[in-house]
Amino acid sequence: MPSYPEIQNSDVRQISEYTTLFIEAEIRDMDIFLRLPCLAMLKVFHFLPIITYGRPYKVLTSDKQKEYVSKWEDSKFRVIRDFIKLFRYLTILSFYDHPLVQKAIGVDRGRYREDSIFRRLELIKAIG
Amino acid sequence: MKTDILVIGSGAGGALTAALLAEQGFGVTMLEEGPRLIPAAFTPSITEMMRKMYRKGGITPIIGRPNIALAEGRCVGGGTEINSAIYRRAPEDVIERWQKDFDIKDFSIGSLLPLYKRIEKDISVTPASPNIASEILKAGADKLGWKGLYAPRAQKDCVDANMCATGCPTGAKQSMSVTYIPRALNAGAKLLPDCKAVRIETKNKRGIGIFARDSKNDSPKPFFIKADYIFVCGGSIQTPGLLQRSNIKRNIGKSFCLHPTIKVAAKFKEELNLHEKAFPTYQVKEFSPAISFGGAVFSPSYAALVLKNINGNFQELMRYWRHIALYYTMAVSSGKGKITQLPLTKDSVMARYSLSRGDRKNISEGVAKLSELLLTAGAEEVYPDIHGHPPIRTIKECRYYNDNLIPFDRANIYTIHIFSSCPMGEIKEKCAVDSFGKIHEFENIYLNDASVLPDAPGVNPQGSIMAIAMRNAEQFIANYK
Repeated sequence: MPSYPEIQNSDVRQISEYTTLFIEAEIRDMDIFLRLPCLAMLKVFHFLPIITYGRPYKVLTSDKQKEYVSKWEDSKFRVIRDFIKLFRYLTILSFYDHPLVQKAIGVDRGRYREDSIFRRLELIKAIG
Repeated sequence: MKTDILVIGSGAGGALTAALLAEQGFGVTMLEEGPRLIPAAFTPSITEMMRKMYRKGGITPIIGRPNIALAEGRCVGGGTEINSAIYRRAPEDVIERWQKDFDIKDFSIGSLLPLYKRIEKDISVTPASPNIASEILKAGADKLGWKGLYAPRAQKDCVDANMCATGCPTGAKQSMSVTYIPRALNAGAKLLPDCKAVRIETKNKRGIGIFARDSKNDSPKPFFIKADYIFVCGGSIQTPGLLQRSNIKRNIGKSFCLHPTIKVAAKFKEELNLHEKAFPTYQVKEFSPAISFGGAVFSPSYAALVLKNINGNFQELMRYWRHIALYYTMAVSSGKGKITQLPLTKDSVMARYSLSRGDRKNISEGVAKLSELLLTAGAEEVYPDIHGHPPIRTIKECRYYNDNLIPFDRANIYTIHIFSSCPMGEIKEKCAVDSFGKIHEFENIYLNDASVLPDAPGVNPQGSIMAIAMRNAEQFIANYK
């Protein structure tokens, strides 16, 4: 979990679950020529730490996970860099898009409603 | 099912085509692969709306060296539902080049101007509201003596909801779903959302109709729609994909062009709060057509995606997200890419493009010059969207990329403008369709979308896509009568 913003413990699980579900859905919807390599790389990513750290990624300490991810980001192999780039992109996008995170950083998602509720109703009536 | 005219795709080209033909009394059926969404369905959540409005949840990269990120709209209204609605006419020299290099009949700024004006009236192309991100860009450009302009937008009474990329909740953005599609429906056209065109059935150089299937439920069982005339308007990637599935292949998908783009974030001393503002529209054109700069859509998520790459403490920097503005530098592709319907797959279409040497040079120079402009405008630090890149703090650091390439293996290149996969013109060796969009070898199959643009226009393409679609549709009407 990113250190900014500070998230209440009671919200961490909800945000993590949302991020996981979002990434799973994105992978599911990928074109086959992306999805299959992605799934294969995911398996490699998860189990490769057994060689270096003696255990799979999921059960590494937070520091070891960061170290491992950093190695993938700086890999000399483009396919590995692109894979981790995609996952970081999806994770960060979904994290900062979550309503609880946006609330924590002070974004008002309903801001436009006061200005436009009347116009929206008119528009819905006009176009059906 | 039978129709006079089948229009496949409901974006900028398809919606306009359907409206004009329906208004002339033709029986028109519009087929759209994506859903029809009403404004009440739009939320500010990028992740939610990507899953509803974007093809493959927004993950549709152009494969190449490097891979180029692209998001395609997949809903009624197509790309116009998720774009900025910035509207530009193609420059005169581009129109002249297209006419000359592709031998397009009756094609000139004089013939297109009335069409541009009609479209601009139809979709309310007007100057955009003031935006501090634009003012910053202009201030920097003015200090450096670089010319630019405020690009108008297709909008009415924008309330700065800043939801252009996730669907305008008020209808202020004049996308196809609030302009030409209601016109088409009012003129008697039918709209079939959630229907994917699988293959065009042809016989003796005529299109007979298309096989389509329910895309919402991913039903494998296709149904047939018989049509006297078929207009394919699925966009630069899906149009050639459909044609290739239908065994229509000559000059289809071989000359794909785009505007490769990279983001640059900038941090300012004061709070900008750009998440509460609509799309910035100031564009710096000093180095056009090779390079241009403009403002990118802003949200904390989009800011985080750029800032995460900097060589520094991303989390600490995110605390200043309100001080951040996002800009882009855009080049005009000098190479040609390919669109390929992958064999043995239902409908997987792969787009490929690798940056040419010229593209790389232009993008690198663009990063240098945009960074210099932003520092000149008062930015404390500038962050190009390149993994591991340190913040840029001095003009000297900016100018490094005037003569050196950015590390493209670490850069996040993206595009929002794609075209030219089935170019129009009379030169049969390179053109897929004739001067008015008819596929050369077929009597009744037309293309009328971004795929027919001869090459990259160097400006936001929606205006040109619509002007050419209007021109071609009216020629069809004139020929029919």
